[in-house]
Amino acid sequence: MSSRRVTLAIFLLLDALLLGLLYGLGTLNLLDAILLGSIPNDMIWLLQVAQSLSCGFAIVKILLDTKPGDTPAVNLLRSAAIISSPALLFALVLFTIEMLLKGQGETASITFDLTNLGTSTLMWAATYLSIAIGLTLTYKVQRYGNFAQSELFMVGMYFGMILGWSEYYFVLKEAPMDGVIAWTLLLRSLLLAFVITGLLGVLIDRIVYRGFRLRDSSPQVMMIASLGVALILRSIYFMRFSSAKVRFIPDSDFTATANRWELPTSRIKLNLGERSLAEGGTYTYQTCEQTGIDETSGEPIMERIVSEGNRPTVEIYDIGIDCISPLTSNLSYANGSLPVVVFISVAMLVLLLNKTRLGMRMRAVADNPELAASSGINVERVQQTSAFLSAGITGVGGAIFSVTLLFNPTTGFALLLPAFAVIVLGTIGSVSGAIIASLMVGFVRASSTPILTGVGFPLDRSGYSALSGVMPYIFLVAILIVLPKGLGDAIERWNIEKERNRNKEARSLIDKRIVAALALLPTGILGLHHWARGRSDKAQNFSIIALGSYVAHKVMRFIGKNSFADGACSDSCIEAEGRSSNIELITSNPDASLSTKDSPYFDVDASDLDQKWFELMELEIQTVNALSDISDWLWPWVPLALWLFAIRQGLQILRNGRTNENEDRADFISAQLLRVRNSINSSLKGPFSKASTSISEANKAHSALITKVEVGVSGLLLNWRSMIAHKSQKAISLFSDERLDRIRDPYGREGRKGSWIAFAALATIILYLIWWLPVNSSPEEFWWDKIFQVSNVTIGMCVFILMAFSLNLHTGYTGMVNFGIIFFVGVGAITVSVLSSPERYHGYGWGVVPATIFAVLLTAVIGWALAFPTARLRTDYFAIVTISLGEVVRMLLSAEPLLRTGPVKSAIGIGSYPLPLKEWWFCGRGVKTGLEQEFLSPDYCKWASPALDSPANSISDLLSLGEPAPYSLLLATMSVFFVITIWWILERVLTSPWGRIVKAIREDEEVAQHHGHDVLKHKAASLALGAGICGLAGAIWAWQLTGLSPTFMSPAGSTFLVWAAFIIGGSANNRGMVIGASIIVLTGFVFNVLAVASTPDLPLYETANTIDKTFKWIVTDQWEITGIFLIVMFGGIITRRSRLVEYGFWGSIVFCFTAIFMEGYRSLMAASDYTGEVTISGGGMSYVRLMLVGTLMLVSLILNPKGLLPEVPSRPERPSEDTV
Amino acid sequence: MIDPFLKVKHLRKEFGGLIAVNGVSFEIGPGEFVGLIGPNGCGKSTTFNCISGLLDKTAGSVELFGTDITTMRPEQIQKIGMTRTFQHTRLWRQMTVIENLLVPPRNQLGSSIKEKIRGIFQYDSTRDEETRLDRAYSVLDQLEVPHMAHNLTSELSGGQSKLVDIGRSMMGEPRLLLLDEPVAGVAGPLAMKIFNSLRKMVDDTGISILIIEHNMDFILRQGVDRIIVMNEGRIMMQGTPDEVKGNRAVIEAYLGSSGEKGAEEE
Repeated sequence: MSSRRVTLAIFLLLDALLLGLLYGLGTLNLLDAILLGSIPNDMIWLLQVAQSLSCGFAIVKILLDTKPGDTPAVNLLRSAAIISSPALLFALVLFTIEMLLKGQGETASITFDLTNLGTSTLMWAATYLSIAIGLTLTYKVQRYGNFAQSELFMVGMYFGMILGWSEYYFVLKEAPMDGVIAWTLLLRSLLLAFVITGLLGVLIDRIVYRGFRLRDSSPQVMMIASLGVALILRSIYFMRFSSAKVRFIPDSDFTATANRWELPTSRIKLNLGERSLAEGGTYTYQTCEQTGIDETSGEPIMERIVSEGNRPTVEIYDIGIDCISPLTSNLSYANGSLPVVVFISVAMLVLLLNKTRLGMRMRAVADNPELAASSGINVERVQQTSAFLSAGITGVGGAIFSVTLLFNPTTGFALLLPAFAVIVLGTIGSVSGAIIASLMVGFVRASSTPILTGVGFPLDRSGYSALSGVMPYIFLVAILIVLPKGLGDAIERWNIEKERNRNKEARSLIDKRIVAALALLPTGILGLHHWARGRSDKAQNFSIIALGSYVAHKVMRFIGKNSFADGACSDSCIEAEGRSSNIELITSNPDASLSTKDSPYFDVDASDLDQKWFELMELEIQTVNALSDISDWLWPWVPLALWLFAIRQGLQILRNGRTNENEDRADFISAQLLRVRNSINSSLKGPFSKASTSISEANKAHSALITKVEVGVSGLLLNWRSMIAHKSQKAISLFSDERLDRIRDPYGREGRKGSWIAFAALATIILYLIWWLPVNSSPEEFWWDKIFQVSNVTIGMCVFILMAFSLNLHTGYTGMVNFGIIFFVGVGAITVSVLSSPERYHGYGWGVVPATIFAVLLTAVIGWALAFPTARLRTDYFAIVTISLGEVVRMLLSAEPLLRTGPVKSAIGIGSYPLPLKEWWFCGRGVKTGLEQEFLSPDYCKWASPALDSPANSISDLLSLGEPAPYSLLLATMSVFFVITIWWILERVLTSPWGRIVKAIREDEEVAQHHGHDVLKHKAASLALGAGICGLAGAIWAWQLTGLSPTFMSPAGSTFLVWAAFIIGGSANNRGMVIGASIIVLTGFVFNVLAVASTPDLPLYETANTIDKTFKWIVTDQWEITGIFLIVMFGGIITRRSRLVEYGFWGSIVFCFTAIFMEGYRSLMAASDYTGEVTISGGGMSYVRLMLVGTLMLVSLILNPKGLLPEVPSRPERPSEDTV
Repeated sequence: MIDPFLKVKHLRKEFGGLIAVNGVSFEIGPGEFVGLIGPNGCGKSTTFNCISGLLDKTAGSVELFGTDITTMRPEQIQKIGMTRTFQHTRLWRQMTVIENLLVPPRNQLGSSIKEKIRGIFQYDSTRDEETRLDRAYSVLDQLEVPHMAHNLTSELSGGQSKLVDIGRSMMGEPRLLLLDEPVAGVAGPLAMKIFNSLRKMVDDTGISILIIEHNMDFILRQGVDRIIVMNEGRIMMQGTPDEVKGNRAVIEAYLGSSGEKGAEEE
């Protein structure tokens, strides 16, 4: 079985590599020949590259799948192949490129700078890890995939900026470069980012997720809720800080060229592809050779010799052009700090999880919440601690990341998917797996940049260097298919195996004298004696303390040296003549003292700024001095103490053969801590107990009062209600009971009739709203403008309704969580537009109808094929795969020349494609347009004089519009037709036996399988049908947009909105999809109107103005808002509404914080437009809309989880006797 | 001699180092009502899972109506004519009772493409759907829960769920039914009634039933034809209820501990 698969994979690999890429004789080339060469050459080799790489992954998968053989030799070979598979795959990538280039007769040089590769691997790994570790914790303890994790990263990113903008710190941040780094701002922002982001995590957890936990909601619901949270957070940041890219520079000296490490490196240059040169061509490369001997010193003289000839495959350089100085690669202190901070904080988290009681509790809750609760753990508190830690650590990562790169509020989202790749590769929930996986994904990202840059140019794809960002996604998809359980699972199994083996063999006891020697020698510092005694946990404690103190010492030493600490002298200080310390370096005061005079703002007299600067510098000096002191204590005193301890244990071992376990270090410390705590407790007990009794008495009195009031109020309400009931009874009695019964549905909205009635009511409101949408128009053109607007709203709605239908089919009916709606839509839109573009615009000149049919079929086939590798994945994995695919297509749209049409091939995007029936609409029947025709394009017909006999003109005459009816009217009519047709088809399909089968699959796949249904086949069919619908939606969207640019595929503008429509409308009810999608599209149009409403004569000006004013008020008067929240809180306390207390409490905390830090001039500048005015009018309105959509989604999930129109289960009646 | 419906030979299943089922062999004849009993963790459910195709087998073979089903998937096995239930009732909870019953009938979508299109787009104008509905309602009548037909199964009580689960299994027209503790948690009289109607089904239609039951006292009194006793992954003995009652080894190894427990449960 497997050998056949291996053979097939190897055959396909060779087919792609040797036959296809090298000689152009592969299967795909043959297919092209059968199709008479209609496939473009570029597409063939692109597909062949994909074929080759996927065969590589397939072989690895087969290796992993096959059960271990019997003979040890086979087993060994298999394990060797698995372990070396990353290296083999990397080699396969290079070899494929080599074959491709050889076949094309091109050459590419790829230059790897080894040190740079290493440092950027570490940097990317750290970046991804800081999000991934938060995701892991959330997955482990709270059990859902948190799509808002990247937004917590964003909060961290902006944290440094916020501190730097504040009135207190800006003096330091904006001080000009002086040659010495000030660390205060960086250290504070890291520390505070941890606390504040952590608190934000707790806040979100309490307000949003706790409710879901209490209701036992499924992880999918929480994942979707996190999407809503992400939308809200991101739009708030967009509103407040705009989309401008910023970078947090804690002190301008971080950007100084002197402040970096120069690391030795080697460069490896690979020349791939055609290496032999044409007749007369030369290739020059350089080597160092000895040219003579220096007569004075007797040392050999080395010189660069230029050699000519064919290109070598590999060139290695490690010495500079002068043959003396080694090549270096620079790493700025700012960039270097990223991995240091992230890996240290992750290490601390690991310690916390593995070595403390809190960590133990967290792991217990992760394993089994019920069991943990029954064994006395406060599960809710552990959940909150976990929320705090996972948010906090991501916040720290964001804060340090903000020092390295320019960012804006979407930067975090781009990092989320690779972070998901990390946790999937490392097995969801495994911390150690995530750390290893982050390094691998970081390496993929770092190494793909030089490869893509090197290869892109010779293949006319210079835009490919931008694709390095999507390599982790592609890697993710491959990993999910090859190794769905991830590395962590393998590590776990290996550990279990190890444990088992250890238990099998009784451990041979090592002579106690050797153990004692290990303790007495310096090896005792690392705890090797414990290790020899088989107590590896204790050995770990020793080594961790020793290594940790060494690392901390090093880091603090480094900070101390490059700072204003007493006596610190950095490299540039050492180089400078006659300077003995950093302070002296900038102030020239030989006694190394600082005064307000040394302030960079100093100008004749000491001003306010100088005073502020001086205070901050004093703080800075205290901080770094403290760090230096701690560093001196950590090393060598901590290891020495450890050694002393080990020696004591060694002596005990010599004496008794064992250590005195009770006097263990950790136990001793914890006992001391407990004693301190007890004494504090007992001293506080007296006054506290008194206070608490009085409080509880007050409490009792209060609650008695509340009860009284409530009884009174409810009595009043009751009276009132009965009065209303009485009156309404009278009104109702006007209708006879029979009539009412005919209208009433016993199942309410969950019955067929009730659902239709609710739909009709909602649809009426929506139709009214469409009509109500204001137009900015003159009276003469009003009708044309109105028709144009209504048509556009209709088209938008139809596109979203179709997408929602598809999502509903996949997620609502079949139970596959699809986050990649835009993937199918994008493929459909791109296929239609590229195929139908005329050939002179680099398209393929297909007719619109065949192109559309082909696009729908293609997306359906892709959907069908996607089922096979992904059907066995967990639902959240499926979500991650689909969203990644969408992003890959979006990035390809901006980088791949095959996906470009229009007059200029180099311009990104697809344009100049024909629209269906546009010719007929404007030119009438029988008139052709084109290069040789009377009219170049339908747009020329439109204004032809005399007017042509066309539908556009007839409708215009009929309604006296004054100018030809807009094309969008036709498109709207067509889309409504499509929507109604698809809706009808879906209703048929879903009420048929197939509909109930997929619903059974949604409810319980395994049981459906045991009742005779091939789950895979039905899932594939569902995916294909939904994907086909998406393909059609994509085609309509392409026609509406008339030009495709990559932005139309951004998930926030498509997939997430469709999800919102799905949640609001009601899962598994297509009527709900129509309503949900219409609401979402309508909000978009309303906010479009709001965005342009800048003068009083435009519609909705007042509303826009109110929103703008509210925003201004929120931004500028935060103490007032804090006050309001405090009032809410006290209101809650008085009326005993714990929800109100909570909202008030957290709201006041948030705004109190923002009031302290964000009311300064600089912070307000960041919130303003370019003129300095704080405003949200214009483009900012789209973020208000996103926030609204996110809020709607969350509110709907919390208050109305079934949606506006819930699912209507089918209730067929018993067939009457005479029909059977 | 009539060929047996189900033939299990030397079935073996290991999880890591644990041997859950260790060389189990037995046969189920046509029209037989067989009980499978044994203490907790003796491998009854694992045996079921292996037979129904949910789990891969480590070794051994399974034959159903003369077809080798050792490596088949559950849906293929169901099509040959065997249906099973799960120990914890797993109904499709957001679907009505009648919908639940309408999922298992065979060949609902037709086999050729033309039939499939007809089956999807014109399903309600054909006789098939009406026949299926009629059958579903008559099954509900038999189980005496026709009034629940339009309720979601998440609204049913535990006993009703068990009934609907059995009814749903019948809808697939199995010739062999594997029931995993169908009366666990069901009150005594109803449990008795379920057993009686199962017995009646076997006698009337000639299908065979293999039933896992934890409570030995109970099954001995319910008129099964034969009992297979499992212990620690092996078959301890097979025989009529009377033979099992008379076997000292069984009573010592099993009744001693579990019999008391069964008494407590009642």
